[in-house]
Amino acid sequence: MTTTNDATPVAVPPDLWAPDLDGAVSAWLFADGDLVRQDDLIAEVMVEKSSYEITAPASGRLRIRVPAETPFRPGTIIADIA
Amino acid sequence: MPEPLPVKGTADREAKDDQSMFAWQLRIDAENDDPAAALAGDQLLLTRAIQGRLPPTARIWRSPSCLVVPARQMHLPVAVRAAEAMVATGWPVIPRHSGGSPVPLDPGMVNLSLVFTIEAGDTWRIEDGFRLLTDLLTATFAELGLLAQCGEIHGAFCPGRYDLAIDGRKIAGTAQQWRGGRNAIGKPIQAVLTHACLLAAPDVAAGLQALGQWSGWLGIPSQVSADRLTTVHDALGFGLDSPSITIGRVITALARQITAHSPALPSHTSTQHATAIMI
Repeated sequence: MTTTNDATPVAVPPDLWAPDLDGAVSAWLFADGDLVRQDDLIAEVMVEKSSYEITAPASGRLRIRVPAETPFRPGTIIADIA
Repeated sequence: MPEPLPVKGTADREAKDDQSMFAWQLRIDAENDDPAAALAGDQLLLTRAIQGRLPPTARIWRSPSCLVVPARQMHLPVAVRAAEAMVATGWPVIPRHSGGSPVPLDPGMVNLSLVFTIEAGDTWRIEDGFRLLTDLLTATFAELGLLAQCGEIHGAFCPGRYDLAIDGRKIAGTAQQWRGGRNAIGKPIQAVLTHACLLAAPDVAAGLQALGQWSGWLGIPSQVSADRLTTVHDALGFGLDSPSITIGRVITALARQITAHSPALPSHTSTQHATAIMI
């Protein structure tokens, strides 16, 4: 999955959990298209009975790429901010 | 809650050096009569960890009867009404931030929370947090004379791959919460809560009844079976002893393992020995 040059990717760290396991966003705390500020808590990822907070790496408009409850592997870009 | 430990200096190097000087801090909380406050204690520790005001901390605590449920369940349409009904049964519903499915807590459950931080450059995965817990719990059960194995127990409440079981029956469950933030000098940091609940001597039947009521309200089928669970009290054949004696043994063994072995942490922290605080 790629992101445009002027957008900041929101990626789940690639080494956060074992690569053969799926995680999922349990809740997006902003809607697609919302304006967010850097360091805003924007999503909660759940894997293996563990919750992991995703904060905005930049300020701008949030574009969600992976909807809630959709499985993904670590390292996935789940959104970008433009 | 104890007074926060001071962190000297504001420069990055100084902050790291100070953190490396801290050993594990062991807290054994007095029994709390408010389940929400008992659970909130972990969130306070996470906040202090993010702020650089907490050394790696092991908290042993218990709660009055309550049902701890994943926060997402509280968003279901019937959840508020169901939670009110549960209060009337003596099992208030408390949302939690970590993953999994509902867990009944009562004073016979001994909770262990490990709170520490991860910084950029630390090689630490979610699995490492679970192993930190399961190694400690396995050693604790061994001290009590029980051979515990790690693995998911289907039919137990809140099943997960890092459950601990005796003869295929769950005796402890685990979960984690990672909270992101920035430390005092603005660097990204993660505060990690790894949590376990040990079935020392709970009232399993009452807990499962409450679980069934909650699941019924929410329209979620409950697949929990009492024969997939055990307790330290039962596993050791302490039927004639008071459950409180078993609970005391579990707490003592946990505390001893923490102080004796100081669980290994991410590289930026260093622990040589543990100190204990009785709350």
